[in-house]
Amino acid sequence: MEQAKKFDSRRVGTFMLNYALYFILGLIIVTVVVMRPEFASISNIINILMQSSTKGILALGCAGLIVLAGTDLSIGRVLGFSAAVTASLVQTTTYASRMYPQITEPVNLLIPFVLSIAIAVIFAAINGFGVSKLHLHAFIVTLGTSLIAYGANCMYIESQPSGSAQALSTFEQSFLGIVSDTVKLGEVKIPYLIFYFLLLAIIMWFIWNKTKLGKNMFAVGGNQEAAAVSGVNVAKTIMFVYLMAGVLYGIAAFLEAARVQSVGANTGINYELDAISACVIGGVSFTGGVGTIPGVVIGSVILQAINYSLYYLGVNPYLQYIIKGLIIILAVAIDVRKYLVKK
Amino acid sequence: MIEPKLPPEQTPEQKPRLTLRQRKEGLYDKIKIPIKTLDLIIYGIVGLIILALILGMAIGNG
Repeated sequence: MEQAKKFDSRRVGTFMLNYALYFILGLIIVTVVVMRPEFASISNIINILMQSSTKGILALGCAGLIVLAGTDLSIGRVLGFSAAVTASLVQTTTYASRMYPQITEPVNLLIPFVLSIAIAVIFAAINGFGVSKLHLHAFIVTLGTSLIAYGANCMYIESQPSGSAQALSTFEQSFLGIVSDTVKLGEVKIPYLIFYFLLLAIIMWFIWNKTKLGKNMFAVGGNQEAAAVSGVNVAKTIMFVYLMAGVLYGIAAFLEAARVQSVGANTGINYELDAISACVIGGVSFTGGVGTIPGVVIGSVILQAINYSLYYLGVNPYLQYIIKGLIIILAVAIDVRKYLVKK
Repeated sequence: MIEPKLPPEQTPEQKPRLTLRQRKEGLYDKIKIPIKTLDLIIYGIVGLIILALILGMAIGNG
């Protein structure tokens, strides 16, 4: 009897520890709903989903790299550069200070879309080559490409005819509509952006779980040597995962330009931290070989919900950073615990 | 088709080679702290988060 009680309390303790992160997040959200009931309004929930969508798409790409036991610090800056190129091509033709005065007719949106993806894929290919062929640490390669992308972005923005580094704005309505147009479900209007995020999540889920590339990715992330011995082309797998991430960053950049409606040199700053945090909160393990797409989607939404909740609660902005930092450390500590217990 | 790289044959005189599973050294394998200590760290972080939340609400934006 005594032993059964002890066993039960230990199980409860382990459960509490493994799910400590979700208890904390639940506590924050319940507190805000109790103190400010309007937080749970439909418009707020849609706002949270809107904001988590582009960062969620970035997290979908980044998650693959973390499954490979790597990381990507260039996400934010690459997104900024791709978004700047997109923005420069979709400015209204009546806007006097536009980047390309020679463009007199609205550009087909497919052109900036493809260019945005191409730029992100080029940076992703450099990262992938450095990691897979040169065996460089992902942290270093992506840090380098992050700086290159930032430099290129600043130069591009400063090359405006006015010579100033002002943010690119005043976009064609057709471009803005790609993100802000809505689908009416009953009384609720849901913006297209949320559907793009869900669609990309479904595609990524399919790639991760139903294709050879997905299986190889988990094999390489779990144990690179064992994967190589089993006949998996490790370098090719790493390269493909980086390229896949590049495509997602390009799509996210295109959509982010339309969402924020103004792209400057600082667009995308620290987005990599949000993407990596979303993955960690969503249960993608830094040891590699562990992670799920639903986890990444939930992680992205939860992270944004926390941002909103802290803002709504009127928490001091400096302490907001401290809380978010502690939440990420907590997520990693729980991940380490799970790993050590399993070992 | 890529030829899988198989380890060379082992002879009884050789020391047993490590298996692939044993050879794998993950990021967290270097952590050598007991689970109980890790549990305390997790509880500590949770406490800090709650403390920061209360403090943050008390200070507010001012």
